[in-house]
Amino acid sequence: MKAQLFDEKVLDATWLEVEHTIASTGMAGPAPGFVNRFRAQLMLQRQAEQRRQAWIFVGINTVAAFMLLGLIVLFYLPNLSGPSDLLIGIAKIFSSLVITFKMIGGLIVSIARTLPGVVPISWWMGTMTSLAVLSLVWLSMVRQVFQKQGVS
Amino acid sequence: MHDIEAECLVRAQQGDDEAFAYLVETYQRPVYNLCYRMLGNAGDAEDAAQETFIRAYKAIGRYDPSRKFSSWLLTIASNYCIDQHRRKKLSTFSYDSLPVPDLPDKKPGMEANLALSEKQEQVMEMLEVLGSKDRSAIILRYWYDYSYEEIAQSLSLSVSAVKSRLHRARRELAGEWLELQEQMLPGERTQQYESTAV
Repeated sequence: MKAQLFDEKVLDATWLEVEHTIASTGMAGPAPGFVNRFRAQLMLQRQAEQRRQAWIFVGINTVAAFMLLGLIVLFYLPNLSGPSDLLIGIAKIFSSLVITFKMIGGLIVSIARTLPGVVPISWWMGTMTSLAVLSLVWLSMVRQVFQKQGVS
Repeated sequence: MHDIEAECLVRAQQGDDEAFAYLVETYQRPVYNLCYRMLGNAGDAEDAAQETFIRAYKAIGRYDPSRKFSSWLLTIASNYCIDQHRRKKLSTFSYDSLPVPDLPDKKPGMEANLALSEKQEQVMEMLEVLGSKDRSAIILRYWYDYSYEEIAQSLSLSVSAVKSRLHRARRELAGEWLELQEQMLPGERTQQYESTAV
């Protein structure tokens, strides 16, 4: 420490000189256009944040899909003894999935055929319109997210 | 605080970007100056000042209006610079990257400009010997006229710790100044005293 090399009184007197120098240097300012650069920076930060959120969304969905797939595999393939069993098991999974989807489809169709008589037409129209609007909103949001990532 | 500024603060807290841009316009110089004195480099100072405003923008909802806005901003800036300083452990100062100096209204001419630039260099060179918190305390005290209490609040220190840090920093700076004067040639010293006296 250089201060130890000098006498206390000398340091006190010198400090006044230093203080005067500090006072005379004034405030340093940024180059012109600082606010515009801030706006650009803020825009970049926002885009980065949106990208981060989009990736979190994709990540959560991927993890959920894999977990679901794992559960399906665990449910449909309890006992495997060889590769042939695996192939048969996979074929069974797909066939049972197709059957399940067909059953759900049949159920929806039968409900759709039965309900119009019971539920008023205005209710149906309202439901279908809101579903259509929600689907459109969802599609446009997905499009926006992927456009910001430069995917599409 | 001015009425316009208070109104801008309220609007900025409600998410008005233009109001926040007004605050950036108003406080760009003090924030930049603090960053520049702390980091000793115009490029780093610009980045640090931008980052300070980004952080302030994100945290504006948590800003307590009972506190002075400039103090709040400078606290963010000094904390960021202390972190940066610790990370980089800056040991050299680039003379090529001086900031735009705050010149007086009347055009001083080239000689006065040069003298001002030399003074800035000397001050920056001296500040480099200080630790990040001591440096921050000196800057807040002598460039912003902060009280001991305000410095203590900004740097999360006790008032007595601030006093002792400032005392130590003043001694170190004086020692460094004497060292610099001894290194200078007699002709340069005379020139420097003349420019200080102007």
